[in-house]
Amino acid sequence: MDKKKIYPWYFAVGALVFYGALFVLPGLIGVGYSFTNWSSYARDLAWVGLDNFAEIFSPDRDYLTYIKNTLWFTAASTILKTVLPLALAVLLVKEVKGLALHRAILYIPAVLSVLITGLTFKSILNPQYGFLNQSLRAVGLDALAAHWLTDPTLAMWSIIAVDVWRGTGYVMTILLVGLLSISSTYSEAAMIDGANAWQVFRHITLPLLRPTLAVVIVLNVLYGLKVFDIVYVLTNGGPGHRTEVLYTAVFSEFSRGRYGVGTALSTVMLVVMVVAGVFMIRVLTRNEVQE
Amino acid sequence: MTKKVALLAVAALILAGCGSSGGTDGTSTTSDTNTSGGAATTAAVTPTTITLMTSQGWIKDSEYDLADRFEEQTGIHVEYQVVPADQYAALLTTKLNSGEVADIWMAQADKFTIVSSLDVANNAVDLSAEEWVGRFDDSAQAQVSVDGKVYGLMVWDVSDSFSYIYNATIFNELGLTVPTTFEEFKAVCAALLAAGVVPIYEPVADGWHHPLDFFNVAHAYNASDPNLVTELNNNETTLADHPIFQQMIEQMKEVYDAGYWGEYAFSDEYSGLNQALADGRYAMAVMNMTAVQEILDLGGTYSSPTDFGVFPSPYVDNTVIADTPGGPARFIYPKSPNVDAAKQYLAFLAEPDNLQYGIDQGYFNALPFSGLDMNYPSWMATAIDQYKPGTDTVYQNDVSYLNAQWMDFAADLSAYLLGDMDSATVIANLDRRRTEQAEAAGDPAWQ
Amino acid sequence: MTAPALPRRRRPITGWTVAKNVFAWLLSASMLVPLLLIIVTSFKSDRDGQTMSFAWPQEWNPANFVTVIQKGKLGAGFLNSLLYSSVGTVVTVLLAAMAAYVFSRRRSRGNQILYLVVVMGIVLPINYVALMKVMQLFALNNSRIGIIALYIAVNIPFTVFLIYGFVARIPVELDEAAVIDGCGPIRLFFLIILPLMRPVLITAAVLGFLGMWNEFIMPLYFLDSTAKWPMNLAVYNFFGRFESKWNLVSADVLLTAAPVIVLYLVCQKYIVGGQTVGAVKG
Repeated sequence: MDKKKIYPWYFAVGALVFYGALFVLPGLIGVGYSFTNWSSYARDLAWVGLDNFAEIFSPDRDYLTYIKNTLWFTAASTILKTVLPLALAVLLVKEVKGLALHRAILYIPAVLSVLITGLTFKSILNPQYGFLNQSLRAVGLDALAAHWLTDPTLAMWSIIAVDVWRGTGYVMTILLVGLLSISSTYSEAAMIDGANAWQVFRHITLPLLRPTLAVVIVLNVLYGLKVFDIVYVLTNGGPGHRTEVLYTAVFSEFSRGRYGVGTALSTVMLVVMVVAGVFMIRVLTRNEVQE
Repeated sequence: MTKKVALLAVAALILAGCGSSGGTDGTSTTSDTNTSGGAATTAAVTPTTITLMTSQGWIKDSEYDLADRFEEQTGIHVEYQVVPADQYAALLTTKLNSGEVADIWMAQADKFTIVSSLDVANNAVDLSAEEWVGRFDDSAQAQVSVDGKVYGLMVWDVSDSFSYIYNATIFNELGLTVPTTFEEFKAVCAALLAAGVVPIYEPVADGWHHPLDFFNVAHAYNASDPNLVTELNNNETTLADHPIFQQMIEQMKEVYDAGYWGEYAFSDEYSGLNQALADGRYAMAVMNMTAVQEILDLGGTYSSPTDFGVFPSPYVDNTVIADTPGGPARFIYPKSPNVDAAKQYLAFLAEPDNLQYGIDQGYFNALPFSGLDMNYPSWMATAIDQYKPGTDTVYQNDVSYLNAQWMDFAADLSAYLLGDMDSATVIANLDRRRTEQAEAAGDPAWQ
Repeated sequence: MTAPALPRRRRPITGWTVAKNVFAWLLSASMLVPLLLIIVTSFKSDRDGQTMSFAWPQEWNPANFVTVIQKGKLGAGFLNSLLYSSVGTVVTVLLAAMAAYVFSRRRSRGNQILYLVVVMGIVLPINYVALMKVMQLFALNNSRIGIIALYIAVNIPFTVFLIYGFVARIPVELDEAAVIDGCGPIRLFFLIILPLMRPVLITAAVLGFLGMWNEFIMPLYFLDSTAKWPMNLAVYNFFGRFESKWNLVSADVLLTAAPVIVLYLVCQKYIVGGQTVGAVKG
């Protein structure tokens, strides 16, 4: 078969035109600008070489901390949003009545806009009037009532918790699909051969679930690296700079009209993403081949 | 389920049809009004709609009434585009940068920002020839003028300033007097806290409020060195060179660490301020004098005008309420096809009767124009006489490149209060950001 | 739910099963918390509605919704949202399906790279100022067509990614058989492959629609007149005047979220994807 004829190149043109013109082109222009002093204050655009990048990686600036925060958020949220939904999915896949209904409900947080989720949780987590602390106090657990979003040691964890809340149902529904597609004959056969539940999970379920898990992890990592809105709505990087991540920093540079530094920061982000992305997609493709 | 996709597609097509027919409707209305407008006035083509881009909270209801009246008189509809406050700065700079912005755009204006980040010489129409400029107060006018040309119209109460509002009744009950030094201020706070009243409501959550004190104690800064403002603006000295700035935020931290802002300062919001004072749970707050009326209107435990009083921020022994001549101003975009209509609208807003309308409706106590009846409550007039000699101006309006970094400073200040940053770094960052902006703007003093 | 003493069957209802079911319900309930908070608040009076809380409304105020619809001009906003989201979705899904199909079936070096470049778009930051310049260049700024084009561009990467994975599961033998039967590439794709992609197309469409419906930054930057603003920006225009009235804001948010929630409930089996696997296997 002549693949070139059956799968003609022009099928991809439409998507590439839109994507190239309105996504790649501005992106490239942005990269170009990251080597300039472009800002809302500057009258004339001038080439400044690597100055903006030097500023970002300078140890007496906070950008490295923001990068660290971003990686920290990504790692923690990815682990939690993989392990927790996996445990829940395995637990609930059998013997639960109305699983379809539960699945539908569990997915709802992913449907609501982050703005809504953020505002609601800001209210729930308010240390004084918030639903969470009120409930804790009502049952006598006053000691646990904390300043969830404003205590510097807790704020990042609270954001991660809200994010886990938002993502768990979503990830779980994906994993459930994977689990349901695994024929129960394998596990039943293993059980007859005397395997216990853990062995079945470890040697049968997990390997069969690997492709799905890979997708889940990739989505989680990529989402974590570019996290913006949930942080922006909940703390806007505060208290102080404790929860500042790369994209909130990019946003505030842009608000200040410091486009050069802002785009340089996005460019750094772009490099990280491309590396992470290529690596992740490799992992994914390998799985596919194995399949 | 291809049917569903097909349905979606059909729905989309129908909608697309709606959209374009909607567009045609739009144009036909336009031409309709055009003809009527043309008949009513002259043969000149009058635009039917002018756009005004603004941030949440800058437009009072009285102005919407005026816009309706303007439309009745001229046939010109004013379309207000209200943008969420947290997006506004980024949106405005982007739109100005790309050369496409509403016919009238608004910005928080002061004499430095309009040059450095707003570049009004290129982004705004020179309004010096307008009739209302003659009635526009000099100090407010200076904040929207460059090289003697007036670029903006400010319909905003600039006679008011942020200062400490205190609960006079609670003070009297506890035998406390108005503090005039930082030591007295701390003693007052300690006494209040001991009596079970949280001394100060400080809404750190909003991000913009807690830096106010730093900028408001201008008199103390100027007293420490009369040439300070000039030297800062000429780049002959830095904030770090003057220990008073560091001392200022260190005193702030002392107050915060002592618990005088209460347990919930970092999650307290500005919107809860009035209620907190009206209930007497908190005894003081930094706010506009005008806003006292809002507390009284709540009808809480403390709702009599005699319940509240005013004093200047007492940090670094400051004794004066500094003037705040800057505020949100309206500018006309020079590349707009509707410059004349926009001028006409600004002139309409600046008509004495229409300015007076905003005051009479209770949205302003005063406006920076001559020939108006101001509406100060008597206690406020007294406070202005006592504490506001007009000698000093808040630092963000007096020292260049400070206003634009307000939110960055606020975040640094929070980090410092929490112990994540030291006071020297906070001040050094202020200097660094001033330099960055000045160099980017090509400020001759920084060459 | 209690466990009645049923006669023993192959799967007995044990305490464990009951516990699991109770747990499932608790978990589901926790997902509905924000929605409940918004619903409760949206019915409160102005006085109660100054903060968002679970405190039961002292009086029920359905009039909030009327206020919101009239003052927030939600009708026009709704039509705009519907127009942008539905046209955007249909075009995105169609173009992405065609591209993903070619990328997946013909894995030449060039195609692999193109696929990577497209999929990278999932994570790439948008530079609004640069984008504004490009939009002006193509005369797309401040137009309905422009915002739709932008939505398409932004949604292409994820949609291609989603469909690409699915195409790999459609047996190539089908294509071969069709070609032998004399199908040209266009007929092969539209008559044979596209119908087989049905489940993933619907998933992609619903997800795309949701994303476009919830988008609010782009219209803010790229549409200059309130008449063109979608529903959730209409929220803001009205928000500005009623800042601390959470009851009205909640009513507004609820009305804006309602269409997507309904859409989701109708199509949920496609998103959650139970059908996807079935279709592949079947």
